[in-house]
Amino acid sequence: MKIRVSISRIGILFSIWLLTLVALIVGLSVVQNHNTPLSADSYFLTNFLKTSHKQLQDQAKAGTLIKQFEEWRRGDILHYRLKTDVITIGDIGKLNILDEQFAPNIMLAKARINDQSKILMVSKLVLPNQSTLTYGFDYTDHYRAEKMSFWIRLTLFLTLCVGAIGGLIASTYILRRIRSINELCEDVIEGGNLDQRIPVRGQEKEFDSLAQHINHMLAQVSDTVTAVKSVSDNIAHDLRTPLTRMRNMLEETRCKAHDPDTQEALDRATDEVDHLLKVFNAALNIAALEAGKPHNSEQFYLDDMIHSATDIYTPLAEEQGQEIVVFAKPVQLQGNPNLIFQCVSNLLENAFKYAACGDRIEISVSEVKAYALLQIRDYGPGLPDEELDHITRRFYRSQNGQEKSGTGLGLSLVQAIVKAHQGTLSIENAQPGLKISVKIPLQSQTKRAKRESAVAVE
Amino acid sequence: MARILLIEDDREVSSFIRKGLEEQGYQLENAENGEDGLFLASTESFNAIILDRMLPKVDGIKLLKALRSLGNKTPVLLLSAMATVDDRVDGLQAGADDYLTKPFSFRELQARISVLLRRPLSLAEEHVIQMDDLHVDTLSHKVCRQGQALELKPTEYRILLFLLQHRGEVISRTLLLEQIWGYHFDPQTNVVDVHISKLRNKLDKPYEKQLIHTVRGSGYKIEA
Repeated sequence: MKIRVSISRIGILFSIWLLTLVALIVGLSVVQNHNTPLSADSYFLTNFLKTSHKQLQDQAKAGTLIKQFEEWRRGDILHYRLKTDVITIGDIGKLNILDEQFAPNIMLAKARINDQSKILMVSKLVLPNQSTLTYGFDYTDHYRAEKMSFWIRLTLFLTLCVGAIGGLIASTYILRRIRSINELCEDVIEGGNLDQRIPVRGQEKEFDSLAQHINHMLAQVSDTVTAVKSVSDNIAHDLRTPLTRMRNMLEETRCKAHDPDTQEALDRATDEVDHLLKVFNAALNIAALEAGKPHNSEQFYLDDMIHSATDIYTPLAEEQGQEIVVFAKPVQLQGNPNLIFQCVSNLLENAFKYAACGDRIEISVSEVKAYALLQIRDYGPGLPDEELDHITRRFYRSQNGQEKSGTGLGLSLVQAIVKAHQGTLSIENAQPGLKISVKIPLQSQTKRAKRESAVAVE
Repeated sequence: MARILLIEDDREVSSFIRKGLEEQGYQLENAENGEDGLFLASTESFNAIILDRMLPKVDGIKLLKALRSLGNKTPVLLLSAMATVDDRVDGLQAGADDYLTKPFSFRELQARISVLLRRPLSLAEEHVIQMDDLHVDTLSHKVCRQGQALELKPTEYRILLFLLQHRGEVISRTLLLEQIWGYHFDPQTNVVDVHISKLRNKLDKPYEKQLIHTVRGSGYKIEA
């Protein structure tokens, strides 16, 4: 995936680079042409003019040129052809010099011949009688061709430049849009937040329809997930009341029962109901937290809470031959103490359950920037890496914890509580053992419930 | 005879509570909406009030605030069906003495009512608690059984004292955690049992007569 992306990027950058290079070459040729606009044709023609100039000079010296010249005038021959279209110019009026130094001794001039505007390449020859003979070619077609080629190249250059710049902008924009779509997809996969949508900008049809398709897919997945969740939450909710009644009936019956076997059976039935109620309560707690139901929030000291938790759990740890080691700095946190305590308790109980073979459990509390950092590390077997991502899922049981008792919701509840406090939960293998880090912003944005209004509505 | 006012609009719940509590010898008055409840609570005298949070006409929290602003100090147990996210603090801040989430087991309700009815003994009144052959001096924190001093850890002492202050009542595990450490949470392990067994090892094990009793499925109680 990544390689393909980079290849396409290299391709785009390469073609832009190529376009720029060609534009540069064309541009250079245009600039150079402007300074010495001598094409191969012009070069040949100027040389030819030089040769004729020499011949004419020789003729002038020999005294034959004047005679010749007189003959030309008499016969009204304006076009004296040496070999090709060299012309001599008699009285053709005023020459309009365009370029005096087109080549040594050669100028470009504009003149009207037979009522046509012509560009001439001319040379001047001073005759022995001190008069000046001006002669030359009809250069019009060449001149126009040269001019034309200059404009064509300039246009080409500008087109290439615009193409390269446009390509660069377009490709940057396209890559950016692809990147934003990719980032959102990664976020959905990793964060599991199905509520995100790709913005539809109404600019490029293809991207917008891609965005709409992905959004549509996300919406469908989200609907399905919500439906599944609400079904399970409704089951939990609807079963809780009859279960409680059942429990009360079991209790009543237990009070009246005298036979030890019946008592034992009723006790076990009560335990089972209690376990179910625990699971349902945990599931409903998670559902409510995930639904963003507001909860009370207050300032409290996390380190004090950890000391209480240690006090509660030390006897249990000792029973397993473990020690709870606390490194706690004073950290004041804004949040719901009961929920955070539930989170600490679940993490500790998790460590007791899955790392019973370790000799200690370490808890540390510290403040990192604007966050409270709580870390719980055990010295048990840790977890296979491929399981790390799954253990916060509801009812997920680790391979080595299949037979352990519990609701299977402990870490999901931790996750939900941490999220409700805008915090993050990360689980990693510390080799040996498992390290769970909870990071919660010191001033969490938990909205205090406007109970009065909520109750009034109800 | 303790008089209890039950303010609850759900007939099923109220008959369940009424039946259970009357069996225990309490006398119950019932109000089905907030208005009647507030009227009864402010005009008659009760030992405790069981108040549902969501009521027609005047809701539980408003009723409670109104009652407290009238200077009425009757202990109130708030019932809530807003089961899930911890919202007890709201109720406690409004002036409730305890909080119970629906659905609840009757034992839990009963335990909490008896805790409400029998407020902890004040130290000045009785700084020596005696039960059978157990003596606890609440000033020096000395605990003796049959004249022998017992070495209790601070936590063990606090648990024993709380049980003694509510002797004869069944104290649930969550209530114990809440009262001793101040956090309402739901442990998935037998952590409370471990604390109790530590206490028992010192308090009961060396002696023939057991004082701390396990009430299966409900909790613990201390009784001579």
